[in-house]
Amino acid sequence: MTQLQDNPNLAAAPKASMDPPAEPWWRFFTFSTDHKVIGIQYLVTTFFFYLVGGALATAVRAELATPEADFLGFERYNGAFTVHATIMIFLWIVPALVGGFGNYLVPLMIGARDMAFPKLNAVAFWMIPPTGILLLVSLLTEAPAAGWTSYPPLSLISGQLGEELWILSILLGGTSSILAGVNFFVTILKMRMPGMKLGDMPLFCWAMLATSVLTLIATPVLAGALILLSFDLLAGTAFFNPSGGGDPVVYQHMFWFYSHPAVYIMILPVFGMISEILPVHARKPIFAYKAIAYSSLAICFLGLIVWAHHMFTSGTPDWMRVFFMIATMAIAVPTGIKVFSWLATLWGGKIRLNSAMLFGMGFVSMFVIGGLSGIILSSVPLDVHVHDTYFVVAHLHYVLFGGSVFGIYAGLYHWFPKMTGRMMNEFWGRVHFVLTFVGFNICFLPMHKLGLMGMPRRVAQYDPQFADLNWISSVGAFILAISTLPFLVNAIYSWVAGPKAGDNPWQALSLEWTTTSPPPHQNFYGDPILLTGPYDYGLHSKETLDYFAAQLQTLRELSLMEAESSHS
Amino acid sequence: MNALNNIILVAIGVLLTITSLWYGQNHHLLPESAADSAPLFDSLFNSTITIATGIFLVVEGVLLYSAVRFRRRRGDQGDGDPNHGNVLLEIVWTAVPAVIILWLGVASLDVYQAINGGVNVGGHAHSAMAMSMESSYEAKAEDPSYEYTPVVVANGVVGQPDLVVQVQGMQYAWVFTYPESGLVASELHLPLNKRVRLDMTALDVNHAFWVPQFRLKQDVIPGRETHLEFVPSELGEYPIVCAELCGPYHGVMGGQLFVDTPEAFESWQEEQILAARPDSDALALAAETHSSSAFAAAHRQRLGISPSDLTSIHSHPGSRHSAG
Repeated sequence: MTQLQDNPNLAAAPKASMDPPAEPWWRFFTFSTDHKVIGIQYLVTTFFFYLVGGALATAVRAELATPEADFLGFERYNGAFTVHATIMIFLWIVPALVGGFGNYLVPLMIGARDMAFPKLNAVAFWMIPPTGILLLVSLLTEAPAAGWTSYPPLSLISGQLGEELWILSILLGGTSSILAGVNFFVTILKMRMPGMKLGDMPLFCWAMLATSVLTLIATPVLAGALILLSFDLLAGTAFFNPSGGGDPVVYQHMFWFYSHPAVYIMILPVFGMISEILPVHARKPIFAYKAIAYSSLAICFLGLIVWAHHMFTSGTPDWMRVFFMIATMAIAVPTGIKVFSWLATLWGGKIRLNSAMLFGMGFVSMFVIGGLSGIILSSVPLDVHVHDTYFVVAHLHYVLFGGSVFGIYAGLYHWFPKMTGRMMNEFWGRVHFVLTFVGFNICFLPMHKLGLMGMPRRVAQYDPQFADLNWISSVGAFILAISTLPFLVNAIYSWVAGPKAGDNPWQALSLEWTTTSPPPHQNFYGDPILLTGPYDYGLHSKETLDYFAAQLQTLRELSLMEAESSHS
Repeated sequence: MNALNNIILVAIGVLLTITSLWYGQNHHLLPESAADSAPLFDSLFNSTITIATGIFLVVEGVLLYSAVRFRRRRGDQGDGDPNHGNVLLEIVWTAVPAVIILWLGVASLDVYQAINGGVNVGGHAHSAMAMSMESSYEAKAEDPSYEYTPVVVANGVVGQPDLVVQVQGMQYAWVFTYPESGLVASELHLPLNKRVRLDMTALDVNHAFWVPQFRLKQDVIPGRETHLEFVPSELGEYPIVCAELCGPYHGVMGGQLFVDTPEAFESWQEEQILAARPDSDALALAAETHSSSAFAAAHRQRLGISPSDLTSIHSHPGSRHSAG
C-alpha cells in the first residue's frame, strides 16, 4: 500500500489536459475510442437485442402453450427459435459481457487510461449493429431455420438467403469478438498500472484474461466452419454435404470446437463479476483469491477439450465419448471451487441484500442447478437419453439465464452508479429481482421433467401428454417477459433523474471506485494509486479509509487546478 | 454450546442424506422402462439425482442461511470477518467433488459398457477407433486383450443379434426394412427378449432415433451407417421420437414401436409379407390400413404425402443405397 505522501508522481504534475467532467450525451452515438463510451454503447445496444430475442422467446413459448402448432406455424416457429438463440448468444450475452462490462471495467480496474488498441476497440463495437441488422433482415425476409447450431445437411436445404445472412452475421460478430479478444489479452498483460502484479488484479480481470484466450483460440475455427458451410451453400461444394461425399459430422466438430468454449466465454466474465460483487456487499474479502483465479484458467484449458460431449449420439467413436466424458466431468472441480469460495465469502459477512446482491446470490443459486444438470449431461449413458430434449433446454437456460443473465443484472445494478453517476431505485430493483426469479423458475424448472419424459427440443407440435407442464412453462415465460419492464423503466428514469451516486456509494475498494462517477475521460485524476487491495474488507479501520478518500480528493483538486491553469 | 452445535449439525446432515436418498428413488422424472439396459440407466440416474439433491440442498441451504443469519443489521456500517482463506477447507471442497466425479465417471463407463453389450469402450483407443462404425461385438472378437466382464446383461447373452432391422430416416418418417424377409414397414415390430440391432441411415438430413422407454438414442446421418443394439424387455407400444432437428415438421416426425411376443411378431411379419405381394388382392387392403393409421394420416394431412408415395420411395431400388 503506497502512502500518498511517498508517491513520486504527486510532485510531477500530469501532462495530459483534463476534460471537463460532464461530457456531451451524443458521444454515445459517435465513433468514440473511449473504452467507457464503448462499454456503454455495447451494453445499450446489446440490451436492445436482448429485448428482441426476448420477444422471440415469448413467441416461441406462446406457440408451445398448446400442443398444436397454432400460433406461429411450423416454418415460422423454426425461424423464431433459431434467431432467438443466435441473438441471445451473439448479440446479447457475449458482447454485453466481453464488450460491455469488459470494456468498461478492465482499464479502470487495472488503472489504465484506455484499452491497448482504442481504435480497434471502436471498430469491434461498430461491427455489432451490422451483425444485428443482418440477422433482423433475415427474420423479415427468410429466417434461418436450422437452429443456432445450423447443422448441415438441413442448413443447406432450408433456405439459401436466410442461411447466408445468418452466416454473414455470425462471421461479423465473430470477427468483432476476435478483435476484442486481442485487445483484452494485451491490455491485461501490458497496461496494468506500475506496481500491480497479476496477483493484485481484481478477479474480473483474471476471468477476462481466460475469456480472451478462449476467444482467440476457438472463434477462428467457427469462422472456418461457416466459410466452408457458405461454400457448400452457395457454390455447391461438398465439405459437409453428404450427397457430394462430404461429412456432416465434421461440421459438428468444428462448430462445437468454438461453441463449447463459447459457453465459458459467456460464463467466465460473470464468474469474475460475481467475485467482485459478493465481497463488496458482504463486506468481506473474497475467499480463496488464488483458487478462484487459477480455476478460471483451469476452466479455460478444460473448456477447450470437451466439445464432443455435444455429439455423444452423433456416431462418435467410443474412445472419443469416453475421453470427452471424463474431461467434461473434470470441469466440475474448478467450478465447484468457485461456488464454494463464494459461499465462504458470504459466510460471516454483513450482507447488504440490495438489488445487485440479490441478483448475485440468485446467480449462485440458479447456476448450481445448471451445473448439476450439466453433470448429468456429461455422463455418456445418461446423455444418450436426454440429448436434444427439453432437459438440455432447461440446463442451458439455467446456465445462460440463471447464470449469465442474472450475473449481467447483478453487474448492471452494481456498476450503474459508476457508469452514470446516479443510483437506481432500490424498491423497483427488488421487484425486478422477484419477478425474474419467480418467472425464470416457473418457466424452466418443468422443462427438466419434460425432457426426461420424452419431449424432444425444437418442436412446434408435441404429444398432448406434455400439455400441462408446457402451459406452466409458458406462464413463467410471460412473467419473465413482464419482469424486464421494471428494470427498463428504472434504468432509464434513474439515468436521467436518479439521485447522485458520488464516487463510491458501495464503499467498495477496487480501483474503479477511487475515481469520480462517471470517471473522467482519462479515467483517473493524475495517476491512479493503489491504496488498498481490491478485497481488503475488514482489514482497514474506517479512519484509515476516510483518510485515503480525503487524500484522493486532494489529489483530484490538485490535478483539476493543474488542468485549469494549463487550459487558460 | 459447542456440543449443541455439533448435535444440530449432525441432525442436519442426517436429514439431508435421508431427503436426498428419498428423492433419488421418488423423483418420478422418467417414463416406464422397456429395454433390458434401461434399468441400468435408471439406477445410475437415481444415484446421480441423489448426489445432486444433496449438493443442491447444501448450497441453497448455506445461501439462505447466510442471507438471514449474516444480513446487515440496521445502522451497522462495519465490515464482516476478514477471513480470506482456509487451506484445509479448500482441499476438502476440491477433493470431494473430485471423488464424486471419479465415481460417476467409473459408474458411467460401467453402465455404458453394459448397455453396449459388454464391450470395453475405454481401454483401447486405437482398436476402438477402427471399429467405431462397425457393430460392437465384432470388435470384441478381434480384440485379443479383451477382458471386460459385463456387470449386468439380461439373459446373459452377448453376441450376434437375433434380429437385424434396417432403419431409414427421412423428412418426416421412419421406414423399417427386415432384410431376412425383405419386408418394408412404417412401424417397427420387435420380438420380446431378443437382441436387436438397428442399422440406421438417413435419406436427406440428420435425424435421431429415440425411444424414451428404452433410454436409447442415436443420430441417423446421411452418408454413414449408425447402430443401436438392445433387447426389448416389456411388451407394449412405444413412441419413436425424432430427436434431431430435421425441418419444420420435425415435431410430427414420429413412429410406433411394438414389442410383440415372438408368435405375434411372426404372424405380423407373415401378414405384412402377404399384404405387400404385388399380385395379391391384399395390397388394397394394406394401403387401406396404412392410410387409416395415425402415422400416415398425419403426413397425408400436413405434407400431402400419400401411402403410395411412401411405398414408391421404399420400393425404388436406388433410393435406399444412394445415401449410403
